[in-house]
Amino acid sequence: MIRRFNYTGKQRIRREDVSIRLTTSKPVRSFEAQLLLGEYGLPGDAKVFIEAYEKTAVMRFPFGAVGSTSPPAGEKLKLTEFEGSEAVRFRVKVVDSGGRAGRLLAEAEGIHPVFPEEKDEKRRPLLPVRYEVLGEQVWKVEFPESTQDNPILLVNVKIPDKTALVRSPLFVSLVLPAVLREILNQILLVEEYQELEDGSDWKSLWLRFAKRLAGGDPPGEGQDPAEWVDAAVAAFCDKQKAHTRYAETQQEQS
Amino acid sequence: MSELRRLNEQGISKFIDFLQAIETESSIPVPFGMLTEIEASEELSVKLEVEQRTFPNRTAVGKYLYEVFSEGNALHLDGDRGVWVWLSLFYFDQLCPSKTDATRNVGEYARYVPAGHAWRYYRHLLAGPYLIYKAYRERPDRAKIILCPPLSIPGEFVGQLASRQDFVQNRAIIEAATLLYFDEQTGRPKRGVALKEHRSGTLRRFVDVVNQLDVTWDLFSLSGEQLVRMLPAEFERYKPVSCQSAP
Repeated sequence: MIRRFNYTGKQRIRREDVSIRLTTSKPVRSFEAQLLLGEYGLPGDAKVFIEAYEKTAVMRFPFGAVGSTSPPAGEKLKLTEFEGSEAVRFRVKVVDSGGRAGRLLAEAEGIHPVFPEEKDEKRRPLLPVRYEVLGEQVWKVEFPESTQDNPILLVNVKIPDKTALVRSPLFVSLVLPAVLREILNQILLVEEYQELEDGSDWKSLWLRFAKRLAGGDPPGEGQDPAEWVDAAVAAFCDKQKAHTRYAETQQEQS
Repeated sequence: MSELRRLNEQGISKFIDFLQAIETESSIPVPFGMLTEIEASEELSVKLEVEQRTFPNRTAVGKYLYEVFSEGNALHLDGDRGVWVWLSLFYFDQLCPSKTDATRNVGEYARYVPAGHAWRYYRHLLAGPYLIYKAYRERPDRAKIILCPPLSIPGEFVGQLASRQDFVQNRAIIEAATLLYFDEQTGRPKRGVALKEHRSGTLRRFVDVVNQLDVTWDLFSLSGEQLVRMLPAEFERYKPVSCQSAP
Protein backbone atom coordinates (compact mmCIF):
# COMPACT_ATOMS: atom_id res chain seq x y z
CA MET A 1 0.00 0.00 0.00
CA ILE A 2 1.47 3.35 -1.02
CA ARG A 3 0.77 6.16 1.43
CA ARG A 4 1.22 9.82 0.61
CA PHE A 5 2.19 12.46 3.12
CA ASN A 6 1.67 16.18 2.68
CA TYR A 7 4.65 18.09 4.04
CA THR A 8 4.02 21.24 2.01
CA GLY A 9 1.12 22.76 3.94
CA LYS A 10 -0.86 23.34 0.77
CA GLN A 11 -4.40 22.05 0.60
CA ARG A 12 -5.53 19.43 -1.86
CA ILE A 13 -8.62 20.55 -3.76
CA ARG A 14 -11.08 17.67 -4.05
CA ARG A 15 -11.86 16.32 -7.51
CA GLU A 16 -15.59 16.82 -7.01
CA ASP A 17 -14.98 20.55 -6.53
CA VAL A 18 -13.51 20.97 -10.01
CA SER A 19 -15.38 20.38 -13.23
CA ILE A 20 -13.76 21.02 -16.59
CA ARG A 21 -15.64 20.53 -19.81
CA LEU A 22 -14.27 20.85 -23.32
CA THR A 23 -16.73 22.91 -25.29
CA THR A 24 -15.81 22.71 -28.94
CA SER A 25 -14.90 19.97 -31.34
CA LYS A 26 -11.47 19.05 -32.63
CA PRO A 27 -8.95 20.12 -33.72
CA VAL A 28 -8.67 23.22 -31.46
CA ARG A 29 -10.87 22.87 -28.41
CA SER A 30 -11.90 25.40 -25.79
CA PHE A 31 -12.93 24.68 -22.23
CA GLU A 32 -15.12 25.94 -19.43
CA ALA A 33 -14.56 25.35 -15.73
CA GLN A 34 -16.60 25.29 -12.56
CA LEU A 35 -14.73 25.65 -9.29
CA LEU A 36 -16.10 25.26 -5.77
CA LEU A 37 -13.48 26.82 -3.51
CA GLY A 38 -15.70 28.25 -0.78
CA GLU A 39 -15.12 25.54 1.84
CA TYR A 40 -11.33 25.64 1.99
CA GLY A 41 -10.91 28.79 4.10
CA LEU A 42 -8.67 30.35 1.45
CA PRO A 43 -8.05 34.13 1.39
CA GLY A 44 -10.50 35.88 -0.93
CA ASP A 45 -7.71 37.70 -2.74
CA ALA A 46 -5.65 34.56 -3.44
CA LYS A 47 -5.18 34.20 -7.19
CA VAL A 48 -6.65 31.27 -9.11
CA PHE A 49 -5.04 29.75 -12.19
CA ILE A 50 -6.04 26.81 -14.35
CA GLU A 51 -3.29 25.08 -16.30
CA ALA A 52 -3.90 22.70 -19.18
CA TYR A 53 -1.02 20.28 -19.60
CA GLU A 54 0.21 17.20 -21.32
CA LYS A 55 3.59 15.84 -20.25
CA THR A 56 5.72 19.00 -20.00
CA ALA A 57 3.53 21.18 -22.22
CA VAL A 58 1.43 23.74 -20.44
CA MET A 59 -1.07 26.52 -21.13
CA ARG A 60 -1.99 28.79 -18.25
CA PHE A 61 -5.25 30.69 -17.75
CA PRO A 62 -5.89 33.27 -14.98
CA PHE A 63 -9.27 32.72 -13.33
CA GLY A 64 -9.44 35.76 -11.03
CA ALA A 65 -9.34 35.35 -7.26
CA VAL A 66 -10.90 32.92 -4.77
CA GLY A 67 -13.49 35.52 -3.76
CA SER A 68 -14.47 36.27 -7.34
CA THR A 69 -13.43 33.63 -9.82
CA SER A 70 -13.86 34.72 -13.41
CA PRO A 71 -12.59 33.12 -16.60
CA PRO A 72 -10.68 35.04 -19.27
CA ALA A 73 -12.64 36.05 -22.37
CA GLY A 74 -13.87 33.11 -24.49
CA GLU A 75 -11.26 33.38 -27.23
CA LYS A 76 -8.55 33.09 -24.59
CA LEU A 77 -9.82 29.71 -23.39
CA LYS A 78 -8.72 27.97 -26.59
CA LEU A 79 -6.34 25.08 -26.13
CA THR A 80 -4.24 26.03 -29.13
CA GLU A 81 -1.14 24.21 -27.88
CA PHE A 82 -3.03 20.92 -27.70
CA GLU A 83 -4.57 20.78 -31.15
CA GLY A 84 -5.86 17.26 -31.79
CA SER A 85 -4.82 15.99 -28.35
CA GLU A 86 -6.95 13.56 -26.41
CA ALA A 87 -4.51 13.40 -23.52
CA VAL A 88 -4.74 16.94 -22.15
CA ARG A 89 -5.22 17.24 -18.36
CA PHE A 90 -5.84 20.19 -16.08
CA ARG A 91 -4.62 21.45 -12.75
CA VAL A 92 -6.01 24.20 -10.55
CA LYS A 93 -3.66 26.38 -8.49
CA VAL A 94 -4.58 28.81 -5.74
CA VAL A 95 -1.68 31.20 -5.16
CA ASP A 96 -0.97 33.54 -2.27
CA SER A 97 -1.01 37.20 -3.33
CA GLY A 98 -0.25 38.56 0.12
CA GLY A 99 2.78 38.28 2.39
CA ARG A 100 4.25 35.21 0.70
CA ALA A 101 3.27 36.04 -2.85
CA GLY A 102 3.68 33.11 -5.19
CA ARG A 103 3.24 30.44 -2.50
CA LEU A 104 0.86 27.63 -3.45
CA LEU A 105 -2.06 27.52 -1.03
CA ALA A 106 -4.13 24.80 -2.69
CA GLU A 107 -3.93 22.62 -5.75
CA ALA A 108 -5.77 19.96 -7.73
CA GLU A 109 -3.87 17.98 -10.35
CA GLY A 110 -4.64 15.41 -13.01
CA ILE A 111 -8.15 16.63 -13.75
CA HIS A 112 -9.58 14.83 -16.74
CA PRO A 113 -11.85 17.04 -18.82
CA VAL A 114 -15.22 15.90 -20.03
CA PHE A 115 -15.20 15.77 -23.83
CA PRO A 116 -18.16 17.24 -25.77
CA GLU A 117 -18.84 13.79 -27.25
CA GLU A 118 -19.17 12.28 -23.75
CA LYS A 119 -22.50 12.18 -21.99
CA ASP A 120 -21.22 10.55 -18.83
CA GLU A 121 -18.92 12.85 -16.84
CA LYS A 122 -17.17 9.88 -15.29
CA ARG A 123 -16.13 8.44 -18.63
CA ARG A 124 -12.61 9.27 -19.67
CA PRO A 125 -10.27 7.70 -22.20
CA LEU A 126 -8.05 5.14 -20.50
CA LEU A 127 -5.66 5.03 -23.40
CA PRO A 128 -5.33 8.28 -25.36
CA VAL A 129 -3.67 8.01 -28.77
CA ARG A 130 -0.95 10.36 -29.98
CA TYR A 131 1.27 10.66 -33.04
CA GLU A 132 5.00 10.25 -32.53
CA VAL A 133 8.08 9.77 -34.72
CA LEU A 134 8.75 6.05 -34.23
CA GLY A 135 11.05 5.07 -37.08
CA GLU A 136 9.90 1.66 -38.30
CA GLN A 137 7.74 0.93 -35.24
CA VAL A 138 4.01 1.18 -35.91
CA TRP A 139 3.01 1.66 -32.28
CA LYS A 140 4.42 1.86 -28.79
CA VAL A 141 3.04 2.30 -25.28
CA GLU A 142 4.42 5.30 -23.38
CA PHE A 143 4.08 5.18 -19.61
CA PRO A 144 3.54 8.43 -17.71
CA GLU A 145 5.98 10.06 -15.31
CA SER A 146 3.19 11.33 -13.08
CA THR A 147 0.77 8.98 -11.33
CA GLN A 148 -2.08 11.24 -12.39
CA ASP A 149 -1.54 10.95 -16.13
CA ASN A 150 -2.40 8.02 -18.35
CA PRO A 151 -0.34 5.67 -20.50
CA ILE A 152 -0.50 6.79 -24.10
CA LEU A 153 -0.64 4.68 -27.22
CA LEU A 154 1.87 6.24 -29.62
CA VAL A 155 1.22 5.72 -33.30
CA ASN A 156 3.83 6.27 -35.99
CA VAL A 157 3.49 9.80 -37.33
CA LYS A 158 3.76 8.45 -40.89
CA ILE A 159 0.37 6.71 -40.60
CA PRO A 160 -2.21 9.08 -42.08
CA ASP A 161 -5.23 8.29 -39.86
CA LYS A 162 -4.41 7.09 -36.36
CA THR A 163 -8.06 6.78 -35.35
CA ALA A 164 -8.83 4.50 -38.29
CA LEU A 165 -5.78 2.39 -37.48
CA VAL A 166 -6.61 1.78 -33.82
CA ARG A 167 -10.23 0.98 -34.66
CA SER A 168 -9.35 -1.40 -37.48
CA PRO A 169 -10.27 -5.07 -36.85
CA LEU A 170 -6.67 -6.18 -37.28
CA PHE A 171 -5.39 -3.68 -34.72
CA VAL A 172 -8.16 -4.54 -32.25
CA SER A 173 -7.59 -8.27 -32.59
CA LEU A 174 -3.79 -8.41 -32.81
CA VAL A 175 -2.45 -5.33 -31.05
CA LEU A 176 -4.83 -4.18 -28.33
CA PRO A 177 -4.63 -7.45 -26.35
CA ALA A 178 -0.83 -7.07 -26.36
CA VAL A 179 -1.19 -3.46 -25.22
CA LEU A 180 -3.43 -4.53 -22.34
CA ARG A 181 -0.96 -7.23 -21.32
CA GLU A 182 1.97 -4.81 -21.46
CA ILE A 183 0.18 -2.25 -19.29
CA LEU A 184 -0.93 -4.81 -16.68
CA ASN A 185 2.56 -6.33 -16.54
CA GLN A 186 4.03 -2.85 -16.07
CA ILE A 187 1.67 -2.20 -13.14
CA LEU A 188 1.91 -5.57 -11.41
CA LEU A 189 5.40 -6.81 -12.26
CA VAL A 190 7.51 -3.70 -12.84
CA GLU A 191 5.89 -1.22 -10.46
CA GLU A 192 4.53 -3.92 -8.09
CA TYR A 193 1.38 -1.91 -7.53
CA GLN A 194 -1.89 -3.53 -6.40
CA GLU A 195 -4.03 -0.69 -5.05
CA LEU A 196 -7.51 -0.43 -6.57
CA GLU A 197 -9.00 2.49 -4.72
CA ASP A 198 -6.85 5.50 -5.61
CA GLY A 199 -9.03 7.17 -8.22
CA SER A 200 -6.31 9.68 -9.09
CA ASP A 201 -3.68 7.11 -10.04
CA TRP A 202 -3.68 5.69 -13.58
CA LYS A 203 -2.56 2.30 -12.28
CA SER A 204 -5.65 1.96 -10.08
CA LEU A 205 -7.90 2.92 -13.00
CA TRP A 206 -6.34 0.21 -15.18
CA LEU A 207 -6.50 -2.41 -12.42
CA ARG A 208 -10.19 -1.63 -11.92
CA PHE A 209 -10.76 -1.96 -15.66
CA ALA A 210 -8.93 -5.32 -15.67
CA LYS A 211 -10.77 -6.47 -12.54
CA ARG A 212 -14.08 -6.06 -14.35
CA LEU A 213 -12.68 -8.21 -17.15
CA ALA A 214 -10.96 -10.85 -15.01
CA GLY A 215 -13.86 -11.09 -12.58
CA GLY A 216 -11.82 -10.80 -9.38
CA ASP A 217 -9.28 -8.73 -7.46
CA PRO A 218 -5.68 -8.62 -8.72
CA PRO A 219 -3.24 -10.90 -6.89
CA GLY A 220 -1.75 -9.50 -3.69
CA GLU A 221 1.87 -8.73 -2.89
CA GLY A 222 4.23 -11.66 -3.56
CA GLN A 223 1.71 -13.61 -5.68
CA ASP A 224 2.31 -14.36 -9.35
CA PRO A 225 -0.01 -12.13 -11.41
CA ALA A 226 0.42 -14.06 -14.70
CA GLU A 227 -2.81 -16.05 -14.40
CA TRP A 228 -4.88 -12.98 -13.51
CA VAL A 229 -3.41 -10.99 -16.40
CA ASP A 230 -4.13 -13.91 -18.75
CA ALA A 231 -7.75 -14.01 -17.59
CA ALA A 232 -8.17 -10.26 -18.14
CA VAL A 233 -6.64 -10.39 -21.63
CA ALA A 234 -8.72 -13.44 -22.58
CA ALA A 235 -11.91 -11.71 -21.38
CA PHE A 236 -10.96 -8.60 -23.35
CA CYS A 237 -10.52 -10.72 -26.49
CA ASP A 238 -13.90 -12.40 -25.86
CA LYS A 239 -15.59 -9.05 -25.48
CA GLN A 240 -14.00 -7.67 -28.64
CA LYS A 241 -14.58 -10.95 -30.54
CA ALA A 242 -10.92 -10.69 -31.48
CA HIS A 243 -10.53 -13.92 -33.39
CA THR A 244 -13.85 -13.55 -35.21
CA ARG A 245 -12.85 -10.07 -36.37
CA TYR A 246 -9.45 -11.29 -37.44
CA ALA A 247 -10.96 -14.22 -39.37
CA GLU A 248 -13.40 -11.90 -41.13
CA THR A 249 -10.61 -9.63 -42.37
CA GLN A 250 -8.73 -12.66 -43.68
CA GLN A 251 -11.85 -13.83 -45.50
CA GLU A 252 -12.37 -10.41 -47.04
CA GLN A 253 -8.80 -10.39 -48.30
CA SER A 254 -8.94 -13.87 -49.85
CA MET B 1 15.16 34.94 -52.05
CA SER B 2 12.91 31.88 -52.18
CA GLU B 3 9.19 31.58 -51.75
CA LEU B 4 8.35 29.91 -48.42
CA ARG B 5 6.11 26.87 -48.92
CA ARG B 6 5.02 23.93 -46.79
CA LEU B 7 5.81 20.24 -47.26
CA ASN B 8 2.67 18.14 -47.58
CA GLU B 9 2.25 14.74 -45.88
CA GLN B 10 3.91 12.97 -48.81
CA GLY B 11 6.83 15.40 -48.70
CA ILE B 12 7.20 15.03 -44.92
CA SER B 13 7.18 11.25 -45.23
CA LYS B 14 9.87 11.39 -47.93
CA PHE B 15 11.93 13.78 -45.82
CA ILE B 16 11.76 11.37 -42.84
CA ASP B 17 12.85 8.57 -45.21
CA PHE B 18 15.80 10.74 -46.22
CA LEU B 19 16.76 11.36 -42.55
CA GLN B 20 16.70 7.62 -41.94
CA ALA B 21 18.70 6.91 -45.06
CA ILE B 22 21.57 9.35 -44.45
CA GLU B 23 22.23 7.82 -41.05
CA THR B 24 23.73 4.85 -42.85
CA GLU B 25 24.46 6.24 -46.33
CA SER B 26 25.84 9.77 -46.11
CA SER B 27 26.37 10.18 -49.85
CA ILE B 28 22.63 10.43 -50.51
CA PRO B 29 21.98 13.96 -51.79
CA VAL B 30 19.70 16.28 -49.83
CA PRO B 31 16.33 16.30 -51.66
CA PHE B 32 16.19 20.07 -52.13
CA GLY B 33 13.98 19.53 -55.19
CA MET B 34 11.04 18.83 -52.85
CA LEU B 35 11.08 22.50 -51.84
CA THR B 36 9.32 23.38 -55.09
CA GLU B 37 7.92 20.07 -56.41
CA ILE B 38 4.14 20.16 -56.36
CA GLU B 39 3.96 16.48 -55.35
CA ALA B 40 5.87 17.22 -52.15
CA SER B 41 5.11 20.83 -51.29
CA GLU B 42 2.35 23.41 -51.44
CA GLU B 43 1.99 27.18 -51.63
CA LEU B 44 1.02 29.06 -48.50
CA SER B 45 -2.08 31.21 -48.20
CA VAL B 46 0.26 34.21 -47.69
CA LYS B 47 3.25 35.02 -49.89
CA LEU B 48 6.42 34.96 -47.80
CA GLU B 49 10.06 34.89 -48.83
CA VAL B 50 13.10 33.55 -47.05
CA GLU B 51 16.75 34.04 -47.70
CA GLN B 52 19.54 31.47 -47.64
CA ARG B 53 21.74 33.16 -45.03
CA THR B 54 24.13 31.96 -42.35
CA PHE B 55 22.93 32.28 -38.76
CA PRO B 56 25.65 32.60 -36.12
CA ASN B 57 23.37 31.43 -33.29
CA ARG B 58 19.78 30.65 -32.26
CA THR B 59 19.00 34.29 -31.50
CA ALA B 60 19.76 35.27 -35.09
CA VAL B 61 17.53 32.61 -36.62
CA GLY B 62 14.73 33.22 -34.10
CA LYS B 63 14.78 36.95 -34.83
CA TYR B 64 14.95 36.47 -38.60
CA LEU B 65 12.05 34.02 -38.74
CA TYR B 66 9.99 36.15 -36.37
CA GLU B 67 10.47 39.08 -38.75
CA VAL B 68 9.51 36.93 -41.74
CA PHE B 69 6.24 35.78 -40.13
CA SER B 70 5.30 39.03 -38.38
CA GLU B 71 6.15 41.42 -41.23
CA GLY B 72 4.21 39.17 -43.60
CA ASN B 73 1.20 39.19 -41.23
CA ALA B 74 1.52 35.43 -41.12
CA LEU B 75 2.05 34.61 -37.45
CA HIS B 76 -0.88 32.21 -37.74
CA LEU B 77 1.30 30.01 -39.96
CA ASP B 78 3.88 29.37 -37.25
CA GLY B 79 1.93 26.36 -35.98
CA ASP B 80 1.96 24.69 -39.39
CA ARG B 81 4.12 21.59 -39.15
CA GLY B 82 4.60 21.44 -42.94
CA VAL B 83 6.12 24.95 -42.93
CA TRP B 84 8.73 23.96 -40.35
CA VAL B 85 9.69 20.81 -42.23
CA TRP B 86 10.04 22.88 -45.42
CA LEU B 87 12.32 25.28 -43.53
CA SER B 88 14.32 22.33 -42.14
CA LEU B 89 14.95 21.17 -45.67
CA PHE B 90 15.72 24.70 -46.90
CA TYR B 91 18.36 25.25 -44.18
CA PHE B 92 19.37 21.59 -43.90
CA ASP B 93 23.08 22.18 -44.52
CA GLN B 94 23.16 24.53 -41.53
CA LEU B 95 21.02 22.37 -39.25
CA CYS B 96 22.87 19.17 -40.05
CA PRO B 97 26.21 20.14 -41.59
CA SER B 98 28.52 17.66 -43.28
CA LYS B 99 31.55 16.75 -41.22
CA THR B 100 35.06 16.50 -42.67
CA ASP B 101 34.47 12.82 -43.46
CA ALA B 102 31.25 13.80 -45.32
CA THR B 103 28.97 12.14 -42.75
CA ARG B 104 26.25 14.00 -40.82
CA ASN B 105 25.09 13.78 -37.19
CA VAL B 106 21.33 13.58 -37.70
CA GLY B 107 20.24 13.14 -34.07
CA GLU B 108 16.58 12.88 -33.16
CA TYR B 109 14.08 13.54 -35.94
CA ALA B 110 12.14 16.05 -33.84
CA ARG B 111 15.02 18.44 -34.54
CA TYR B 112 13.79 18.65 -38.14
CA VAL B 113 10.20 17.35 -38.10
CA PRO B 114 7.89 18.59 -35.35
CA ALA B 115 5.87 15.63 -34.14
CA GLY B 116 2.46 15.72 -32.52
CA HIS B 117 1.30 18.92 -30.92
CA ALA B 118 2.60 22.45 -31.19
CA TRP B 119 4.47 22.22 -27.90
CA ARG B 120 6.82 19.67 -29.32
CA TYR B 121 8.09 22.32 -31.72
CA TYR B 122 10.50 23.53 -29.03
CA ARG B 123 12.79 20.63 -29.88
CA HIS B 124 12.84 21.71 -33.52
CA LEU B 125 16.10 23.46 -34.46
CA LEU B 126 14.29 26.37 -36.13
CA ALA B 127 10.86 26.48 -34.48
CA GLY B 128 12.48 26.22 -31.04
CA PRO B 129 14.55 29.42 -31.26
CA TYR B 130 11.71 31.13 -33.13
CA LEU B 131 9.19 30.38 -30.36
CA ILE B 132 11.64 31.42 -27.63
CA TYR B 133 12.50 34.64 -29.44
CA LYS B 134 8.79 35.34 -30.00
CA ALA B 135 8.03 34.81 -26.29
CA TYR B 136 10.97 36.95 -25.10
CA ARG B 137 11.11 39.42 -27.99
CA GLU B 138 10.77 42.45 -25.66
CA ARG B 139 13.85 41.30 -23.71
CA PRO B 140 15.61 38.49 -25.60
CA ASP B 141 18.67 39.09 -23.41
CA ARG B 142 16.76 37.44 -20.55
CA ALA B 143 16.70 34.13 -22.45
CA LYS B 144 20.30 34.31 -23.66
CA ILE B 145 21.21 31.05 -22.00
CA ILE B 146 19.03 29.13 -24.48
CA LEU B 147 19.34 31.53 -27.43
CA CYS B 148 23.12 31.88 -27.58
CA PRO B 149 24.17 28.39 -28.83
CA PRO B 150 24.86 27.69 -32.48
CA LEU B 151 22.01 26.38 -34.58
CA SER B 152 23.20 22.83 -35.11
CA ILE B 153 24.56 22.29 -31.57
CA PRO B 154 21.84 23.46 -29.16
CA GLY B 155 23.70 21.98 -26.20
CA GLU B 156 22.88 21.01 -22.65
CA PHE B 157 20.99 24.16 -21.63
CA VAL B 158 18.59 23.86 -24.54
CA GLY B 159 18.22 20.13 -23.83
CA GLN B 160 17.49 20.62 -20.15
CA LEU B 161 15.44 23.81 -20.25
CA ALA B 162 13.96 24.30 -23.71
CA SER B 163 12.78 20.74 -24.33
CA ARG B 164 10.27 21.12 -21.48
CA GLN B 165 7.56 23.59 -22.28
CA ASP B 166 6.72 24.17 -18.62
CA PHE B 167 10.32 25.35 -18.17
CA VAL B 168 10.82 27.29 -21.39
CA GLN B 169 7.56 29.22 -21.00
CA ASN B 170 8.36 30.08 -17.42
CA ARG B 171 10.13 33.42 -17.39
CA ALA B 172 11.34 32.99 -13.83
CA ILE B 173 13.16 29.74 -14.69
CA ILE B 174 14.74 30.96 -17.92
CA GLU B 175 15.71 34.34 -16.48
CA ALA B 176 17.15 32.69 -13.36
CA ALA B 177 19.21 30.27 -15.47
CA THR B 178 20.50 33.19 -17.56
CA LEU B 179 21.36 35.21 -14.43
CA LEU B 180 23.21 32.26 -12.93
CA TYR B 181 24.99 30.70 -15.84
CA PHE B 182 25.40 33.14 -18.75
CA ASP B 183 28.89 34.61 -19.02
CA GLU B 184 28.61 38.15 -20.40
CA GLN B 185 32.35 38.24 -21.12
CA THR B 186 32.38 35.27 -23.47
CA GLY B 187 28.77 35.39 -24.65
CA ARG B 188 28.45 31.71 -23.72
CA PRO B 189 27.44 29.63 -20.70
CA LYS B 190 29.96 29.66 -17.84
CA ARG B 191 32.44 26.80 -17.89
CA GLY B 192 31.78 23.66 -15.89
CA VAL B 193 28.07 24.24 -15.24
CA ALA B 194 26.55 22.04 -17.95
CA LEU B 195 27.85 18.73 -16.63
CA LYS B 196 25.86 15.54 -16.98
CA GLU B 197 26.39 14.88 -13.26
CA HIS B 198 24.21 16.52 -10.64
CA ARG B 199 27.12 18.37 -8.95
CA SER B 200 26.36 21.20 -6.58
CA GLY B 201 25.35 24.44 -8.23
CA THR B 202 25.34 23.03 -11.78
CA LEU B 203 22.52 23.06 -14.32
CA ARG B 204 21.29 19.56 -13.44
CA ARG B 205 21.09 20.55 -9.76
CA PHE B 206 19.25 23.73 -10.80
CA VAL B 207 16.64 21.58 -12.55
CA ASP B 208 16.37 19.32 -9.46
CA VAL B 209 15.90 22.28 -7.11
CA VAL B 210 13.42 24.02 -9.40
CA ASN B 211 11.36 20.81 -9.48
CA GLN B 212 11.37 20.78 -5.67
CA LEU B 213 10.36 24.45 -5.43
CA ASP B 214 7.58 23.82 -7.94
CA VAL B 215 5.81 21.68 -5.33
CA THR B 216 5.33 24.60 -2.94
CA TRP B 217 5.56 27.68 -5.18
CA ASP B 218 3.77 28.84 -8.28
CA LEU B 219 6.92 29.58 -10.23
CA PHE B 220 5.03 31.45 -12.95
CA SER B 221 4.22 34.10 -10.31
CA LEU B 222 7.89 34.81 -9.53
CA SER B 223 10.55 36.88 -11.27
CA GLY B 224 13.94 35.49 -12.24
CA GLU B 225 15.61 37.46 -9.45
CA GLN B 226 13.14 36.13 -6.85
CA LEU B 227 13.82 32.57 -7.96
CA VAL B 228 17.59 33.08 -7.82
CA ARG B 229 17.29 34.42 -4.25
CA MET B 230 15.37 31.27 -3.23
CA LEU B 231 18.13 28.94 -4.39
CA PRO B 232 20.22 27.29 -1.66
CA ALA B 233 23.83 28.06 -0.78
CA GLU B 234 25.29 25.67 -3.36
CA PHE B 235 24.34 28.22 -6.07
CA GLU B 236 25.86 31.20 -4.26
CA ARG B 237 29.00 31.36 -6.41
CA TYR B 238 26.91 31.67 -9.59
CA LYS B 239 24.48 34.28 -8.32
CA PRO B 240 24.86 37.87 -9.51
CA VAL B 241 25.89 40.20 -6.69
CA SER B 242 22.41 41.75 -6.52
CA CYS B 243 20.91 38.33 -5.65
CA GLN B 244 23.54 37.07 -3.22
CA SER B 245 22.73 36.46 0.43
CA ALA B 246 24.11 38.95 2.90
CA PRO B 247 27.32 37.60 4.55
